[in-house]
Amino acid sequence: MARVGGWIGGVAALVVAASAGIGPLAAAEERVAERVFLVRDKPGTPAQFRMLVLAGCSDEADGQCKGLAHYLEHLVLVGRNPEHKEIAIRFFPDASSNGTTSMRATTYIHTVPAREAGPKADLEQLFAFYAARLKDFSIREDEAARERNVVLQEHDWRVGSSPFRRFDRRLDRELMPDHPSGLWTIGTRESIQSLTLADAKAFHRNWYAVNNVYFLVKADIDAKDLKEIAERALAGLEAKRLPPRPVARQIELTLERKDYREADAQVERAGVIYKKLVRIEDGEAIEARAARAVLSSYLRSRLPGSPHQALVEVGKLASSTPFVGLDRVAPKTFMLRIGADVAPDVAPQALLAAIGGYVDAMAGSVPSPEQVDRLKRRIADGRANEDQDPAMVYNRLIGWLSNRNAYEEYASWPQRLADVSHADVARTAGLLAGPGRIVTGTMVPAGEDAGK
Amino acid sequence: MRPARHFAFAALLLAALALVAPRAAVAQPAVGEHRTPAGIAFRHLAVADTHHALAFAWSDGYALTQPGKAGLAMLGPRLLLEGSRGVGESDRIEQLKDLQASLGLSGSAHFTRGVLAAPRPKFAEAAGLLADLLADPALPADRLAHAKKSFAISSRQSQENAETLASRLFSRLLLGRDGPEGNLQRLVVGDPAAHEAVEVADVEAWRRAVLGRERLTIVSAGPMSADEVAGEIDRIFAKLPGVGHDIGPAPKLRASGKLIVLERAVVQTAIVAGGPMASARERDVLPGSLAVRVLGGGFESRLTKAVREGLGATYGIRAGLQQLHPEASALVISTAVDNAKAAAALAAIRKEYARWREEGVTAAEIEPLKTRFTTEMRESLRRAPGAAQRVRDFVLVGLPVDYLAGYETRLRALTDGAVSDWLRAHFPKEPLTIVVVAPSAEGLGADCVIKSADEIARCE
Repeated sequence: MARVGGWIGGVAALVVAASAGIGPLAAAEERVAERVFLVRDKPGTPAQFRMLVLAGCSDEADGQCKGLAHYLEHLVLVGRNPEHKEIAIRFFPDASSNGTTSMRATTYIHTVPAREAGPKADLEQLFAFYAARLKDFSIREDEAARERNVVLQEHDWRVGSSPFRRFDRRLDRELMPDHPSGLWTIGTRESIQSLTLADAKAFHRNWYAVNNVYFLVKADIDAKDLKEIAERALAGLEAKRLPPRPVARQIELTLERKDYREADAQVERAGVIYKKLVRIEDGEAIEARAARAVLSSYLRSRLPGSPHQALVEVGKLASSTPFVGLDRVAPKTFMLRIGADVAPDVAPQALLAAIGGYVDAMAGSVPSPEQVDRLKRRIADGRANEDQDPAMVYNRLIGWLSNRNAYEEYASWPQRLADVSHADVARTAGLLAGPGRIVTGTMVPAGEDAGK
Repeated sequence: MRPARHFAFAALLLAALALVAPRAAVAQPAVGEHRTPAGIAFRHLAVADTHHALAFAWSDGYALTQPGKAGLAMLGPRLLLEGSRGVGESDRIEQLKDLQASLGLSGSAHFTRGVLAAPRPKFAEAAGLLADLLADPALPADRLAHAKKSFAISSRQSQENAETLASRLFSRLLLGRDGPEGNLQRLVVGDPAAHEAVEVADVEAWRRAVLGRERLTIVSAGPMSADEVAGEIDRIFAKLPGVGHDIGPAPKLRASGKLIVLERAVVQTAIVAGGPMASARERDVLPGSLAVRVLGGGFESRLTKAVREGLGATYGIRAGLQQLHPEASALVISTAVDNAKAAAALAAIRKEYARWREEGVTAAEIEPLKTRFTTEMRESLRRAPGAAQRVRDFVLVGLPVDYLAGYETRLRALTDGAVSDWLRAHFPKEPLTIVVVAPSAEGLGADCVIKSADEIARCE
């Protein structure tokens, strides 16, 4: 196995222009080591540290997301290890700390205040702590059991107490019954209750490895100093051979449509959701991703021809701007989601039919060439503004890496967006309008008919 | 000295100062007081950002004087946002996106607040859109009818959530249902009955009475100079009528000290506890903010340690101050807990609150919090929209213009003793008023048990 020293330090850095002057900063990330990035910030600003583990719910054993990756995140943050007295979430009493888990990644987050002596000492502590956590973590069985109940309460708070969230989760499972993308990161009440400390340890052994994490820092620190801190902390950690990722499995795409309807006493406002899976053979390519980004921007806008205009302004069927999502869920497989609250005095089936009709007609009602240019200009202008702000540059990089996008493609993304043509967007829209697997849901107040 | 040499000398001096200044020391931005050519007063602070921002607010309180129409405070700004006669809402939103700009407007019981932010080169265009909206609003009747219906459904939907329901019942106990307090209560809880009677003529009357130059607060923040932004402020606001409305007197808050349980089949038990703060006439509640964070703000707080870490009963528990008027606020503790651990959670909340009030806070608790407050304030001032809104909200509660400049000094000067004295003098005495929404009242020691929200009157 490769040693960490072998792949620390070596990739050319991008330029960081940091200044303490009165103008905004021109910010950029610098790759100070293979797995370590720095966004230089100005003096007097808090230091931000993240360890991004490229393991989430979709990596759980046999593709069965039970909420284990998320449970492990809790255990790491509330455990007590030999090198610290307080739980990790209170590692620094004057800092803020937290964690997040998604389908693809687990992130540990610390924001440490500006110090007279700069952020070096804090970063040394954080790197040392997380280097140790890549080897192991410790927590007592009783504390792990208590934390499982905290996770259960989180589930009930986020999902269990909302009929819409429960229904949405069911629809995802109906759409992708044999794939981890059809499950939710937090798991179900039953699956959470079945989680054990031993399961969490096993997941940790599989996925918490120095070759499966990124460290991202935004701070007023020299790249050289950060590199030294990281090298010192991570030296001796060995790369692991990672297990096959269940999410890399292809989805068996049966072309069919299923419509579900639920009634619930907790529902006052009816809502509908439309989900469609389509296969796009060349959808993984960065050019195709860029075209999807422009199309998504259009679908979420209020421009002429957008879902908002069709469903809210013209159709008067939805009460507010519909929610639109367009995501990769498996190799060459993409999910389009459109959800909306039903306008007062409108039959839910009328809104659902209009959404289906909108998607079916997408091939012929794509944004115009002028609209595509307008959207691209907006995206480019927005990015230029982000480039003036270290916090935005930092968050943008985190978003890119946590979605498991290759860093090597990151720098070329603005040009890819600029290269998107009207024909590219039209082709993507046409593919979304083509054959696919559709699951719809209608949620209505109690008393109205329910059932499939 | 020639100007160029003068400048060079100043630059050298600044560079020398930068070398000797502590790295973490960041001066709080100075807030200046200015007037536009048309005579409109505004505050201004320089913020190094790509965007310039204007945060503004009108003193309101008009809706509370209109019997049965308190919802006007929300519906007025909502209808205004539907657009002008020339530029509809969707068109405006898309134009703002092209400019990388944003515009918000929202109403509450005592203030109508807004914020406009745009990159410096595009600020004039964005300001033009706001000026047009204020000068010539369309106020379409069909959109008001839609907004009222939609609001009523949303309000009922929100109340299906146990935490929201408990919070609304708590507000009902705090404010009652009669007189001006009752009107405020119906607005705070989003009672559809407070919205149903509102017509376009009411919105027009509200606009003419409130959205004038007289009780208008404006804060500018960003890279533009005060002189540069003054012209834009005039463009937006100078043509408004010379009127303004008073926010009205502070409501009288009540404390029953009872524990009321609403029995309902819920996934988690919702608990809301608290009571009125004493004498909120002091504008600077910094000691109270520190104290309440020790009690229930984040992973370091006593309530989190007791209820989440001690019992494993909840994902989160929070304590905070709910501002109901610049001179009236309430302590509110809220959480959603495991139904099986509701009684233990209630006991833990009461025990921690009693200990906190009795013993006060410790230096070990407030010293790290002071650093966090400093960090949070500096971060909120880093972007122009955040800075403008922060200063605007300081002004609205009557804090002096130099409040920001002295913020860190005042914060550092606070001792654990001073914070403890403040909390004993201002936070509600026990017993707290508590509302619980739970599957069963059994074992909770309720003073009053109800089966539906409508029965709350018999528990008052």
